Amino acid sequence: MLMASFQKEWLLFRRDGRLVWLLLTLFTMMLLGIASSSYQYQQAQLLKTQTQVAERDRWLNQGEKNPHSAAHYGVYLFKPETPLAVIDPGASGYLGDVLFLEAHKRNTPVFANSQDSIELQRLGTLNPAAILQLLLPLFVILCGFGFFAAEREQGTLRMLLLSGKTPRQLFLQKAAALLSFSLLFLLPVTAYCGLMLFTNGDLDSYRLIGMGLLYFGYVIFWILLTLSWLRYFLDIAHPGSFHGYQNSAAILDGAAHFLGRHLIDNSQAGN
Amino acid sequence: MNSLGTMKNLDRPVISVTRVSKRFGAVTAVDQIDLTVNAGEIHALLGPNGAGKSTTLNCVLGFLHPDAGRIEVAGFDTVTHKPDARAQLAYIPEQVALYPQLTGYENLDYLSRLAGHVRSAGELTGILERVQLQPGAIHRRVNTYSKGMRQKVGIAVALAKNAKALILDEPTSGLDPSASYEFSQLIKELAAQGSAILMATHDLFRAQEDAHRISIYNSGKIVRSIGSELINEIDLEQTYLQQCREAEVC
Repeated sequence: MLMASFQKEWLLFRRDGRLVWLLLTLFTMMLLGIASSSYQYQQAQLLKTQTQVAERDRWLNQGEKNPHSAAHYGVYLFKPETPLAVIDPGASGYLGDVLFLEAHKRNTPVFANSQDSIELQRLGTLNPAAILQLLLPLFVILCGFGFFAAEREQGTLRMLLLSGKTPRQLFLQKAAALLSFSLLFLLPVTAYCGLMLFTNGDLDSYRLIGMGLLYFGYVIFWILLTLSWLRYFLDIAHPGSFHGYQNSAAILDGAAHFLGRHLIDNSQAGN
Repeated sequence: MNSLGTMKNLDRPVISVTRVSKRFGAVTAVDQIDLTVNAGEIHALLGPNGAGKSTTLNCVLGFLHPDAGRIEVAGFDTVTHKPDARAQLAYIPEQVALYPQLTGYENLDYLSRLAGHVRSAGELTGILERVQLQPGAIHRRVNTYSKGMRQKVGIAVALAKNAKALILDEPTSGLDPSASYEFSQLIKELAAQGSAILMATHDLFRAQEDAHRISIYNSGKIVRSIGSELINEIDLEQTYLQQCREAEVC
């Protein structure tokens, strides 16, 4: 039964030209993002290595000094990056990745990319993390709402319910299909990480798995958030039968409210 | 032969509606309705718009919960055993709901598998041929189908899922006489093979031709029930209009 629904959703997906084009566009953006991010990472690493060598030379050639003076002379430290930064550069672009270490002073990191960027660039650059975090949810919402809005508009939701399947089973079928569409985005990233894992000994496999699980959880969160609206559609056609998902939607609503309230409170406190 | 072909238990109700009421706010759409449909029987519901026919059908399908009374389909309560009851039902509304981007064959394959009946390509094609869908249309997308063709696929779905009962809501509305006749023949064939058929219609001629029992609704009540022994004896149009006039609706 799950396979039947899976095949049907893929067939409909393939025949809906708009979704295929959207997927191809985002998939291409993902590949470009990996390529661009990988190039930037390599350039940054090269520059960092050259600068580190020069900095080391400067430190070693500072001449004879007592240790205290040497401490005041200071030294630049560079934050190490792992190849995972190609996928998700993290907060380095905003917090800086070079620290000037000197005696008696607590300097903040410098050379954050955002310092030299216009505001639009601060929203995100073309890297896999930005695509996964910003564009993937839009794709999930678009597909997910299409799943049920189309079923309801066409009247086929009644046909589904008349198959004798429970709303829970229908929900899981839709969620599985939506998950499979969404995971297409993770394919290039997974391929890149697999390649890195075999070719780069520095890559921390636990960190890689952790990051993979976090993104997987992120996708699941958006799928659940989107499909929690199913309660609305199914409650109309199938009254009083969807309390389980009402609860899950209520939990998500509550979580969003909690986060929103705290973020707003904190930002207001900051002002 | 399809399991619809079984002629057993013809006298046992497949659909049983007992003292069912349904209210929407202050309006009582269905008021203490009793009706049964046995295997092999076609039961037609007649009545003016808003009389409660479709509400009754929606209660039988489990899309509405009755406020009072009980509905059973093949022994399953439509409220407490909804999925089991629905598994015994097929529904053909005025406009049969199918996936427009899929072909008739793909729609049938999916809906049949969803209902737990995995059928071979030959079986599916055989079912579509049996409902007289043109061979050239079987692998064409449904968005190119006429209304009559969609209804044939709807009947094919009922056959493929071995539905014990068919619920039809205005099935011949908007069909040309030839398509209406073809549809009527298919329905009679299904009934002859043991399906219980509950049909709401405004087509008095088809009701008189096809039905074994006719119930005339008015203001949420069955005001007249006509058994098979009387159907061909009475002037149905006059009887219907008289019932409407008596209730001052028409």
